[in-house]
Amino acid sequence: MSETKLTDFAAIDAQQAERGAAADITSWALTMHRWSQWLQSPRPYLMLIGFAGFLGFWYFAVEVWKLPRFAEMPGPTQVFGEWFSKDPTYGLSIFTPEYYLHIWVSTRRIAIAFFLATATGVPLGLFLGWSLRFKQYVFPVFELLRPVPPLAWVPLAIVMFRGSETPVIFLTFLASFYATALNTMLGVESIDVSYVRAASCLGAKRWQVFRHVIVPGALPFIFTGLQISVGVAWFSLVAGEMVSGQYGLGYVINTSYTMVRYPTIVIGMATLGIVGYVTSAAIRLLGNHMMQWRMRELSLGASR
Amino acid sequence: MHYNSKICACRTGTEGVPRFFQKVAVWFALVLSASVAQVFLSAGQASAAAVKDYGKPGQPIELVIGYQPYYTESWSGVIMRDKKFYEKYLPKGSTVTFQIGLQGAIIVNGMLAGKVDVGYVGDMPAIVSTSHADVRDIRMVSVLGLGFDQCNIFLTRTDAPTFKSPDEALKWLDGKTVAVPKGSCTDRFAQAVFKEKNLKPAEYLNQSIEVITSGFRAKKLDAAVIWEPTASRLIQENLARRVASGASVNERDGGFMVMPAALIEQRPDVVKAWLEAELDAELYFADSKNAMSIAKMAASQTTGFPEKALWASAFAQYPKSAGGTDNRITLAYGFTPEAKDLVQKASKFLVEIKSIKSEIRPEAVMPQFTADILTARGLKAPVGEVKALPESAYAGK
Repeated sequence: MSETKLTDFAAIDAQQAERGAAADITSWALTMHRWSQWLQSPRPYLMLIGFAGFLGFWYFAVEVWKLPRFAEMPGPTQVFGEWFSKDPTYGLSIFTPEYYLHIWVSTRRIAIAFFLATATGVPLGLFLGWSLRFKQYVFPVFELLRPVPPLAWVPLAIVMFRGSETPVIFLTFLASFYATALNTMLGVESIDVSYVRAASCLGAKRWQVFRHVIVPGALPFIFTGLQISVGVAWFSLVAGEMVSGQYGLGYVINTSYTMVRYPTIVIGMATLGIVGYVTSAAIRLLGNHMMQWRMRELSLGASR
Repeated sequence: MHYNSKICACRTGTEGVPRFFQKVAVWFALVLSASVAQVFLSAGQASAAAVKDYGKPGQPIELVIGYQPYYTESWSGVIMRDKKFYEKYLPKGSTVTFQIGLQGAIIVNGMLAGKVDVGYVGDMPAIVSTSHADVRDIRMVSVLGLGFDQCNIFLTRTDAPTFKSPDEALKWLDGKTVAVPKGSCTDRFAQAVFKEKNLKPAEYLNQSIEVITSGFRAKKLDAAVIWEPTASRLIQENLARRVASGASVNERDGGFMVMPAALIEQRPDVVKAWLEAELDAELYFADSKNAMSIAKMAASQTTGFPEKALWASAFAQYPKSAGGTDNRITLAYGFTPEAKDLVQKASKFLVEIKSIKSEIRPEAVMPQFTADILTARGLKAPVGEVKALPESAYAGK
């Protein structure tokens, strides 16, 4: 690459744009390479062994050994028999359209709640970590509200919000928001102050320090928080869907309890676990992808 | 830093999967295939729960009673708890613990888990409880009460139109948001009425009684189908309006007592003792002179319900235009033809809506205990009625 004077800002911008495009292509190839490495490593097989062990224990504990307190649970034969049945006894299986409707409704609620939690939690966390004065005003209130479980908010959520979707999304949003904001704040606080000083010494203004040092520096914590956040959003969903009363995986679990449909409870739980796992993994992959790009940009800039 | 190619190869797999992990992969594949084949090929094995040991006839017993003070039709349980009629019939030294269930399904789940020995539940949870013999064999042994406006009351929001008749009110529910607690007698009743009248609510929400209360308070619900005493409470707090009931569509509801087959087989003496006490409780309930006393008992065993609402749930006279009846509860005690008819009809309906796998087993209904007790006492089923009383009969605050 040709030498560019530090004052030739248009040329610097053009070079950075070129570098960015190259980085995108390279980071996708790197992601695919890492996938192939993962498949060739023992990790996926050990994961499958773990699942097989869990299923095996469930089967033997409930259906073969009939261990105390396990004997009354539905076993994998009953659950999978119902889950994969074309004419399920209790009306829900992979062959019924309602099953996918419940998944879609829950996923949509999670997506909205998660998006809102991220959009509010990340900026709040950044400011809590960045500004001591702001933290002194806001953090005590934040910490007071944080331990209140979503279930306790159900009556107020019904009264506060219009319609039936908004209270559900609010209840799902709550736990997610706290996890995101807290992790973001911790991410900011974990940044070595010497980076801030170095940037300031080089002439960076306060907002430039925030944009180029604080935000990228906090990204690993932010993405950890987002992974936790999507997980807690899923388990707040069951509380939220008690309010909604009609669709969703939480509704399936809740209704199956009152209708005494034990296999369907397990189907609801397992489906929720699978979909939750997939969303969490998607966040993790997105985070890996985004932070690869940032690392490459910094390293390419350093190599000039 | 020294580059160790062997370590790096192990970590990144850049030189192929080491032999150890290949062996693990093959072993895993074999184990997984065997496990999956075993799970799918084996027939569903009945995993019946361990049978509880209730002791020998004549010995003292510890009983856990699941009852519902928040369900008026089953208030013989409320009377039992207060009056302790069981003390003179159970073997000396027996202990009885009462556990409150907000809904019959909670009690049924407790019975299936072996934690509750006697259940006071509505018709739908009673029938559902008998359909899980593979988990625990539960039987219906007595009828707590039958009614037309106990577990089947239609409420609308207070600003709903004024209806000329209950039929018009029911038609109005078409396309509206209706809430019921699923798995309850109201759920069965509401679905049966909607099917018969060809009505389709825009939303049929599964909500507990407290969420329904909040929903009416926040004006989010158009209607709900609920049981007493919550219905009377919502009316008295001006949160909802009563528009119809089972009387409007000639659809009955009922409360039943259920017990595990193990208790019945091992301790027929205890079953007889408890049912003797139950008869005393139902006779007490039938005597209108005890109305205030019963309302006070219910008030002491519930929270958040005014005494007047509790009194009204059992004894108030509601207008016929809103599905009111002169006879609020028929205290059947034994399995009368009406009770048997309700059980059969409800059972068929529950199979249709996939709530239960098959219709109720004949052996799940055991009328013999109550029949013997009635014969011994020279009585016939039904043993009494809870009559509707004028508002002036309420002597409380």
